[in-house]
Amino acid sequence: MVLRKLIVSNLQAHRVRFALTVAAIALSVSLVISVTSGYTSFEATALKFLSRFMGSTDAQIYRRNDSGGVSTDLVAELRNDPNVLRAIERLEVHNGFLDSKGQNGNRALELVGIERPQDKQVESIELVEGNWFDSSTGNVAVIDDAAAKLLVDRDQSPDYLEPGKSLRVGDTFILPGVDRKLEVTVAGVIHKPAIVAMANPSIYLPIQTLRRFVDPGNPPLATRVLVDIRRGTEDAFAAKWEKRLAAIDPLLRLRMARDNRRDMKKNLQGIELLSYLGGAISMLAATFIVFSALSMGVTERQRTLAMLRAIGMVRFDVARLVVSEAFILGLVGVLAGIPLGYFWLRVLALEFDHFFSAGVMMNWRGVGFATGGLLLASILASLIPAYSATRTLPLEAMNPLAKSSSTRFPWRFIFAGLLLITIDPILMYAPLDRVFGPLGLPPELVRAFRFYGHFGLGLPTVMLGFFLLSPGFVWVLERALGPVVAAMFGLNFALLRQQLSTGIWRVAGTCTALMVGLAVLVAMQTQGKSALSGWRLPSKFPDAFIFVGNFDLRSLSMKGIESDGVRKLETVPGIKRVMPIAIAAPELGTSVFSVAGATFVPNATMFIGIDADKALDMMELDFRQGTRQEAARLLKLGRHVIVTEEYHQLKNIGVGDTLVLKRADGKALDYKVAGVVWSPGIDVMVSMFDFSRQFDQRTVASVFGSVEDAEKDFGVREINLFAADLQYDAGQKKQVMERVKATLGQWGVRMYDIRQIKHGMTQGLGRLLLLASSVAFAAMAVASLGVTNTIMASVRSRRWQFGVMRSVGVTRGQLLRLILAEATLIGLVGAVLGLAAGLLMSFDAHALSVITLGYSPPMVFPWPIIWIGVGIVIAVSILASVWPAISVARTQPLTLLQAGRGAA
Amino acid sequence: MTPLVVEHAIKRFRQGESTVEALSNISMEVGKGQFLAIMGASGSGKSTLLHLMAGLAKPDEGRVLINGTDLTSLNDHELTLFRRRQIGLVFQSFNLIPTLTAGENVALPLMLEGRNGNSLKEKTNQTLERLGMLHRQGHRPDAMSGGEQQRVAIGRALICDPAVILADEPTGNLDSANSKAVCELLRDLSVIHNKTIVMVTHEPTVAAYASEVAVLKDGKLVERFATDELKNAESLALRYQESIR
Repeated sequence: MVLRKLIVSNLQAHRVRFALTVAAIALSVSLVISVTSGYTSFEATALKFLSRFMGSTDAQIYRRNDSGGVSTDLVAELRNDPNVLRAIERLEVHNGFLDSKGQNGNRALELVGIERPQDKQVESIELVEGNWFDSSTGNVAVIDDAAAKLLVDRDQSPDYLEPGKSLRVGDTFILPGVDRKLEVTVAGVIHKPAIVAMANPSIYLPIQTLRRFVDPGNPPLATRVLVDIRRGTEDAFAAKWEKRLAAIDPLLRLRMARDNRRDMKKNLQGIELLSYLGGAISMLAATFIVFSALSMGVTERQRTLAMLRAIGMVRFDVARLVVSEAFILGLVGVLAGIPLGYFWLRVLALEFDHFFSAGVMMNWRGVGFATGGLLLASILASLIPAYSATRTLPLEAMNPLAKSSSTRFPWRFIFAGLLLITIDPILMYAPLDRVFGPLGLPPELVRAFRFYGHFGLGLPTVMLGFFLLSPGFVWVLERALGPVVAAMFGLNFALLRQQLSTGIWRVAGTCTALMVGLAVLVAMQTQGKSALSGWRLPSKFPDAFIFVGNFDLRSLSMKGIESDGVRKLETVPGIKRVMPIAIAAPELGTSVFSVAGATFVPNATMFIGIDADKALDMMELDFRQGTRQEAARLLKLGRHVIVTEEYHQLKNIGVGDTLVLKRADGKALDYKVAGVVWSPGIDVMVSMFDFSRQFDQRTVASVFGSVEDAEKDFGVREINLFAADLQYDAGQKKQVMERVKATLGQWGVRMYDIRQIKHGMTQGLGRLLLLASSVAFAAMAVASLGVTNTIMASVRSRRWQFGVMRSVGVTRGQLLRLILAEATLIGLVGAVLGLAAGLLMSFDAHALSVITLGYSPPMVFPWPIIWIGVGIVIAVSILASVWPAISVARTQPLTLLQAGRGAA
Repeated sequence: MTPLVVEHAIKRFRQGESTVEALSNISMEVGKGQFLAIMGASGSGKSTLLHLMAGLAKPDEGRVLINGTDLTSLNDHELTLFRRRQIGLVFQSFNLIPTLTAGENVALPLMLEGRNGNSLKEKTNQTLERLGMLHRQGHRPDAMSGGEQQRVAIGRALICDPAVILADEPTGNLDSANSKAVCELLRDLSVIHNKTIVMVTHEPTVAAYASEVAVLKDGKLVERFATDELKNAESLALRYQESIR
């Protein structure tokens, strides 16, 4: 009961501090909840789209690489399976179109042939006009709103939000085929979210109508079979049909709905991890604020605590008092933070409605993480103040004056802090392979140890270490920068001296809270900019990539061009030289990039098949091992690859070593390394051309092999991508592209200037980086509450001292400037701590990039944004002190003196 | 059993390079119901002696016994509990918890014992009534005069019915009227309620309320005399001056 009374009365007596600390916790909780729930809502939206537009059936069967089809015999066999409830065919092709002005469309539309009325899945898509047709024949179509616009005018933006003319129910349009045309009447218009519609404008047709249009002479095919399975038989179905499909055609693929969901979750895992990491960072800032508030409480109540000890309160109860206060602060903060988090979530949903189209979903795991995390963090934050409270000597209660705090240099904490901050660099840089290798631990395990050690141990100890170092920083910087700051504010340094170090832990806690945001900003920006800067295009590099992708209605595959097409391309005025590029995505035979358990790091590579002579002439690759000539010779021999530096860094693979690549059918193929080059980032650019859609595997890094190997080993039959050297300046690009289209007679041609792609992607990634850095700014916002708290408490506890100063002639202005100078010093210490922690984390993150990806670009420090962060930290600190400074400067000296010397 | 015994207590402090003996072989006994004032000049060791008696500091040599318990043999936890139950402390600066009411401040030691409910309320009210402070039980320290605050502090020292009450300059922060009231209260506690009280003071007018005076000089007990042989505070002052000359 006594503890409850003491706690409640103390919290009541310091309402503003209580409110500010609770606000910091609540803000942190709300950030965690809004970010994690935002992620969940986004995931739900993605799942909704997945189910609506990719199928909500239990399983799908299709042909890998989006080529060829599934025979109706197979569909019949499926329908005879007792475990199969339904097997519905779909035919999905890409085709050009004519708009209402008779112009050929400049992009492909997706034509989806559906079995009606059996295919009920389409009915879940929002129908804005008309009706779904109820037959598998007839020249009718249901079109989405993006297609409805393009069919009126090919140059319209397909973004349905923009006003413009659209086809309506009853209107007709024409689809041009290879040797015929199909005139179709619109039966209905569906609405798709902009993000889906813009990427893939679609037209749904009766399947028989589409088959007749596509290829009337041959046996009917489907590109996808949607299968509904009897409940409880999924495993048996999968086991049976995986075997059966492999026997029929190795490229046929069975994909269960659960696989889709699992893969999507896997793809989003990185974002989810980031959302939790962001939350943890704001929680860390809140922890230091709780620490700071409790330290203040203990320092201010030194005499009370001494008296309580003197009259018989045992140390355990003193500790319980402080820890319970922390718990209450945490609890109230959490209770306030949960509705606040929901509020932010609603605000996010209003602002980014397309990410929330499945509704606002609370992530209860995130709520639990925030609740448990903040309560635990509050208790952890109370441990040092509680320990310090138990050390209060009862004898201090007998002194008429409060004991002045020690201003000695905190050696013990510095030592402990230094020890802690060395853990992460040891994990990242120490030759652990050499230590664990002889013990029989495989390098993959050592890599996993480093990876998880960094997140599980390294980063927390960096933060904790800098927290323990912070009193030392306060002590040193107060003495080093104090005279400068005093001079800046026109004060005598004697007035400012030891103002911070007399309440060293209180100030240290605040500075550490300020540090968190800046450190994260520095680390994120440095890592991001370094990664981007590492993407260096060689000085000699193809001017453009040309993508040729016509969907062939007969073979049901994306067609490229053949050798005569390449020759034709070379004759196009403006094009100097063309090199075909064959793309495949084989899995790596042995684990190179993956880290056990971290499924978001893919373990497949991008095989870029090239004509060695031409490619190495057009591209001046930076050879780290081997030579251009020898590599070209070996590539031509076959089963040789040029690998990027990443492989060398991770597996120490060099020229002459073997790299195992797996074919789609699982067969492992040995490739010899012909050279090691610095990655020119071709894989990043290739993914721009939407090749990834054709791959089942996500890829990381790239290898260069021959076009022949790509065809022979990985079944690449069509070449869609070409590197080209051009004879034009930027202004002529459009004309050259029109000429390419005209020459090839194809609609699916896109041409990209490499440097423009790079520029665009760099800009986009830069914006993404800034968005990700909002985590750091959020932590700074949380910290600003802590700074206000510290300055207010510091001013309050020294009212008597200020009263004396005012009595002996210190002016209001001088007092005001004194407090502002203190705040500036706090900001400076926070900024220096943030820079130090941020730089250390940046070096560690750089090492982590080498450990997980083998990617080791030179480090680039984006000083402008770092200085902006430093400025924000100092500004937050000064702004937080303005009101307390004005308030105390306006108070009469006598009132300040009456505040009592006991508080001094 | 003698409530308070100090045997050959020696206490040394380091001052820079040298060591200063604050108390030199002090021995004394304070009997049941006795009210002893310890006087001495600044630095004579009177407060140090009180700290040893309260178990707030340990003698370097010798021992302190309260109701037969040797304080030097207790560990920190035992000493804390012993202080809570057997020693009532009154401080110069009252040391009331500003956020608690007068009643709650008085009840604090019993609350630490885990007492609550009616028995606690009854005991608190009794104590406040004895001090003439019942009407102020709901007030916070900042709403009370210095004298009232000190009376509440004395109530806090009394509530556990300790073996000894130790007061360190209890009137140091009070005006003369309030000083008088506090001194009378302490005397009444000793005379009427048979409480054993040791008070440190440097004021003869305050010491005059005690039944006996012990005079310290340079850490040594130089004299101990009964106050009833003296006519008034002036004669006590003269006697004291002679002792320390």
